[in-house]
Amino acid sequence: MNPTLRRRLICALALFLAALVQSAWADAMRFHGAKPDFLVLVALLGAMFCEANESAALGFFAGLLMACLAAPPTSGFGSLIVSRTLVAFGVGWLEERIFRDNALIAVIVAACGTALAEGLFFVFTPQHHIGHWLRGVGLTTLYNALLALPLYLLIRRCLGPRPRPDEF
Amino acid sequence: MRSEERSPNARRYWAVLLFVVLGTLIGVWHNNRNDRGAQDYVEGGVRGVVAPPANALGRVSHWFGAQTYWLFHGHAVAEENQKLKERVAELEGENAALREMQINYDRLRDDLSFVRQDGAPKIAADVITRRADPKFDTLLISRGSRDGVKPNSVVVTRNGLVGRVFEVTPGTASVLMLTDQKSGVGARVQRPESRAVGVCEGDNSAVLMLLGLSGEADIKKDDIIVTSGLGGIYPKGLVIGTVLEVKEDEGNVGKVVRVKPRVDFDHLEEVYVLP
Repeated sequence: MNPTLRRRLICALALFLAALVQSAWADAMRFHGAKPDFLVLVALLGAMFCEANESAALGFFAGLLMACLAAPPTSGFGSLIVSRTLVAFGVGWLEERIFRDNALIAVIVAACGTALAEGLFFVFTPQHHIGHWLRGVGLTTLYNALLALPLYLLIRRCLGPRPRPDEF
Repeated sequence: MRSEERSPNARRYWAVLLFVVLGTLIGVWHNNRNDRGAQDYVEGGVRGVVAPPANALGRVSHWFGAQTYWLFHGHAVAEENQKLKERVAELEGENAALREMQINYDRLRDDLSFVRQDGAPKIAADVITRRADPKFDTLLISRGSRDGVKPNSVVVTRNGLVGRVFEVTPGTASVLMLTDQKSGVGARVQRPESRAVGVCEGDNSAVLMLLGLSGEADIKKDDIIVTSGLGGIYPKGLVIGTVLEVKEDEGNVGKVVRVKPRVDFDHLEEVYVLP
């Protein structure tokens, strides 16, 4: 199979599985108030193996899936999509320039990316109770950072090492 | 060097611009449809694909959890069983008194023409997703517009009020739980000597805040809080929770009350929708 097509199919499948896991188990996986956000995590880690435009698409669909599954009541549907698109694109773009395929980078990307995605969401759709929101984001960021390493290794096993720029 | 790499960034990274514009348009369109009470077909399509397998996965994991629970909680189960037996005996006595009161209540209710409201059939629904996004206290349930669920339909369990529907697709509905920061429900102290009225609001934590009470409001710990019926969405008399703590607010002009919801939002599996 064409490697590009294979990579895109694997990313699509990973997003779908992340949506299922997020729906069925994320709330039950709560630990001292911290809950994971698998969709953001898969978008960020997947973006490390994709070029910037593909990363933007990955973020877009991660945001769309989350918005459809946990649609916020009055606003924020578009904010979820746009914030994930921008952050995943940023990871893909940085990966082309600075990052290297590295497990430590994956943990940093998961932590910073989750916080940044939620920060952008807050800018687009301000929340009432900032203290609770900050606590929730902090805990989700920590949870995602903890999950990043095993998930990164799984994705890397499925996708193989990141291709060189001319191989995309 | 590829021609793509020579092109300016704005052209090379066209996709991000496209997806940002598309995301914004979808968001605006979604909000417009929502405001008019119309269905969002994008959301309906996505949920149509994700909700059935997510529901099946949730059921399988629940079944698996139930089968293996004793492995990890055997001693705790025995203790809990003993406590429950004692509690059942206590409740049986209470139940007999309540039955008598129920007879009187039913008669009065008929007189007050509440039969239609209370007698409406309830729609049972499975919880497909609970707090899929950690930021929002929302549920996705397995009934939608084709089952008669509408925006602002009230969602309850046997224990009390869960929240209200804010969005429907043909096969699913989104429910805003009482604990969400955007939730607010007219509330009243059930105790006949008090009947103080306020607004119960969520803040995404496990307890609710009862606000808008005057400084003289008669309210104390363990009072039961029910819906007041004011506001037009929630019917009167649904149990919200129990008072945990009462505090004077800073200016001493009102009271701030923390309420523990009667419904266990962390273990919701089935709910009922009042259409």
